[in-house]
Amino acid sequence: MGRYLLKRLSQAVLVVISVMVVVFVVTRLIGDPVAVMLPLEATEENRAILEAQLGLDRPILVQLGHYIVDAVQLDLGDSLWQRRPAIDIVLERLPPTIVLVVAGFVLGVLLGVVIGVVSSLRPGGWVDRAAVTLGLLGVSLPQFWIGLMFIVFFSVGLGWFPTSGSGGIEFLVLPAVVLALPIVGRIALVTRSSMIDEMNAQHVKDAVARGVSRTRIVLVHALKGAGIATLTIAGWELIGALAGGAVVVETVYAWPGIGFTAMQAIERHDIILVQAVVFVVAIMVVTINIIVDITYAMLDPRVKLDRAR
Amino acid sequence: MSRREHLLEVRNLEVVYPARGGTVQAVRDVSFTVDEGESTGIVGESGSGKSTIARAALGLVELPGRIVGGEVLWRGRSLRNKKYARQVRGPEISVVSQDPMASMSPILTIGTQMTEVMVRHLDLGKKEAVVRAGDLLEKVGIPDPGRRLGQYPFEFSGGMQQRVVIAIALSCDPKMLIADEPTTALDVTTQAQILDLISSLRRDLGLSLLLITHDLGVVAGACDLLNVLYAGEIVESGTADELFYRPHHPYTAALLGSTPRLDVKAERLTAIEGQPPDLRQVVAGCSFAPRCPYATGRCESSPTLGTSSAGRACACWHPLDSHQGNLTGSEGRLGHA
Amino acid sequence: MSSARPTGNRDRSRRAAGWAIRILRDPAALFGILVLLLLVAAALFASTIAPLDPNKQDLGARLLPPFYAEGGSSEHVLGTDQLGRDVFSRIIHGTRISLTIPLVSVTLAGIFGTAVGLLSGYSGGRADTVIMRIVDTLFSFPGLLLALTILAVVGPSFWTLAIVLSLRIWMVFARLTRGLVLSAREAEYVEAAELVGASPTRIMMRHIAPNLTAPLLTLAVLESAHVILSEAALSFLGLGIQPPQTSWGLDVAIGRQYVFSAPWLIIFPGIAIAVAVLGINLLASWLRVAADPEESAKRFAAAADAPTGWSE
Repeated sequence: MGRYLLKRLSQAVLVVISVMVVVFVVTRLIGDPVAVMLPLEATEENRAILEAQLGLDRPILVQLGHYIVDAVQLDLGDSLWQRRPAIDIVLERLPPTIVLVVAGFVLGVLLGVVIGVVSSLRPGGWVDRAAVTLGLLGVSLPQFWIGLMFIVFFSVGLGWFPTSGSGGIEFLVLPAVVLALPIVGRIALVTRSSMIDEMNAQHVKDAVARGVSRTRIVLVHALKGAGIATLTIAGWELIGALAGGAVVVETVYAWPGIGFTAMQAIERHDIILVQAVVFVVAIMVVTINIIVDITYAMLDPRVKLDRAR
Repeated sequence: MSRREHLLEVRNLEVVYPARGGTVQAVRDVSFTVDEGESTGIVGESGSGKSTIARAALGLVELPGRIVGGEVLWRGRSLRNKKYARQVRGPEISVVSQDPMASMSPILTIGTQMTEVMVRHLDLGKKEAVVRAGDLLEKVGIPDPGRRLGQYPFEFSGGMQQRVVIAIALSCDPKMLIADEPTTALDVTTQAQILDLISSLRRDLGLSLLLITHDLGVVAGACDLLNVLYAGEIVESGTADELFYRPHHPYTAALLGSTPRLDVKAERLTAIEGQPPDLRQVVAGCSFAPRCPYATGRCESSPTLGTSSAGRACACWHPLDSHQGNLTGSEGRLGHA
Repeated sequence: MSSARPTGNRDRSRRAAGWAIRILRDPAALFGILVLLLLVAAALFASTIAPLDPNKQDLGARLLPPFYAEGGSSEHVLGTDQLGRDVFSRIIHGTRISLTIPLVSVTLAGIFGTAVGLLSGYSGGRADTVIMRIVDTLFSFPGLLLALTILAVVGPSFWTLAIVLSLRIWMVFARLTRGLVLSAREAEYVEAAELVGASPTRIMMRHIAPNLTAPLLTLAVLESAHVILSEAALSFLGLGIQPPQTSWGLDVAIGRQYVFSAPWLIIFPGIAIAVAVLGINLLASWLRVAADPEESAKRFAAAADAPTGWSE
């Protein structure tokens, strides 16, 4: 276990560094960060000052080296917009994102698993058809649009929830539901199909023949197996919600998390702050991957972490 | 009723499956019984409907399969009654199937899979169930049961897995064991051990056995009575000895001819020519006729399975007599012992 | 695995007819096909179908509601935006982006990913390990966020958008192709062909390639749906399609400021996205089943006697 963790952690560091290198290459080589950051009316002198400030006048490999060494020490530079360490801003804005993503993810997985299990009990029945349609809708409707439609309907029309912003739990409901929708859809579809496979598996048929109760068949024999198959997808969903869904949903609802911050930073051409967001999210993504693998090994006795990979 | 009540009685069972291009008549007018302490074998090629019969005897014909006629009775009550079938499965009837690895949940411990049924059907506490499970493992020949209970199926060898499956099947002390190809997935030496284990458990526990196999060699020592199944129909039944030494139905004889035997010196093994019929079509006449070397025009009408005095039956217009390979005569409808 | 033998012309046309019949029998697949045909038609003949120029401003006819609402007219069936542009015409023209972006991205990603997957699966050994490690690493990249960053720095345009979106999905093709190549190589007929000395090119073209087509095509359809959603989201966030080009996501972004007074500005482009994605998803899930004989048999059994599956 210890050796496995060490190996996974070093892989994770490698992933984060390669994300940073990609961002670096894109910003310094393909794009022109100074031009992006400076206002249109900037003079050559302004440009030189900013270049020196960012260290852009040094050779590119030196820049990359400094950049990574600094990043490892959590020094990601000062935000141009707020004139203070970018990492501080990101860490301040992180808790609301975690609240939103965890709420949406938990809601999505719970609902998705329940819908998937219920619809698998009678494949082809009307409950199943309804659930599959719902699942397909969940993965087909654009999140930003559903977010706006919810505002039109629930906030403006019915006045149940505030349109945007943050505060009490009432501010969390709509964004969390919108974030959960595609998760519900995909998890329901995956759970359904792996439940159907499990229920048709020989060991489940034999367990029925040996007199195991229907409840235990569904909730222990089939669901535990199906859960292992669903786990991988759930991991991807969590990553997707964090690195994609949250940006869209936070922007629609002006939820003060890192996704919203990233969009504000982009509007203000604050590349340093955007990089800091990407850095923190990359760390969270690799952490989630490690947690998923460990959970996998805990659920499936056939998987031994030391032997895996 | 003076008649002894049968433990399992299958009466005129008809099972169909929908399939591409028609309906498969998987089981056609099948009747047989299993009495207390008795061991009955059902022998047939793959696709002959034998596994469907096994499922029906558990009250479990899966959709899209449907029972369209006949009855399956356990102690005189219909297993088509789902509630009754649920009560019976486990404490009365249990099952051992072909591939032990596939037969157990790969992600639950042996202990869990043994005790879950005990807790439900025997009203045992968790601790008592664990003790009983350990005893059972010992009984099926698994050493160190205390440690083994906490292990998963993949941690056992193939033969040991089948022993575990048998132990799980015996968890609730059933009256009858349905063994559906219990040795097919095992290697030859292990096959013999598992068959010996089943036979000795049967003696010790007074179990009835319904043994389903394609392999006559398997039923040879293990069964008292045999039913030979061809294309969803029983074509011959009788005691194992009689069928082995004096088969009446040409199909039984052909099966014997294609099975290696130690007790009879055979010149060479012979394969049965041709293919079993397509069960999506209504089979007119004897279903074995197209492959039968003795078939005549008469075989275009269906022979019926009748019972003779010795409890022996054969559905054939031209049953063989005791000398293998000889015709008894064209008028013989039943093979008389 | 499907048969790898080439078929004659008559066989092929008969098979095509068989597929057509199977699509017609499945309402979900039929819906998917119809949506796709409709989109293609709208994109090809946008200028003919659309009643007005999507960029023609008419300040006298600003924020007109759709035909069913009070003040709406048949002249602007789905209303007008804040500049008096016709919403319906903009949606029709928007299909061009919604189809060309996935077409370009998925083609790029498909070609590159399949090539990498073939290389990885066929070479095996160390090269395979290294390539798959890189692919694994890319799967751990924070997708949309990284795309946003790149677009923000490089500047959004049709081509940067298409390329960035294809960068997000090529690994999926690589992984699938590699898996298929590995399992096809293990198949006995491929081993047999190798034994009798067939050249690698011949084995690849005759024995492995036919096994790749159906799954890769299905994946391409499925990924197109993802790309449409991503394009819409990026355009909505202001980092995708830029005016004067039109895109459904962009239209929703424009309508966002009028969400209270003129909700039709977001409702209709959103419905267009949803219907397009749903149609393509339905088609993809049907293809997945239809292309796989085993799945197909399962579904047939299900259709023959629904409700089915496990029951006592």
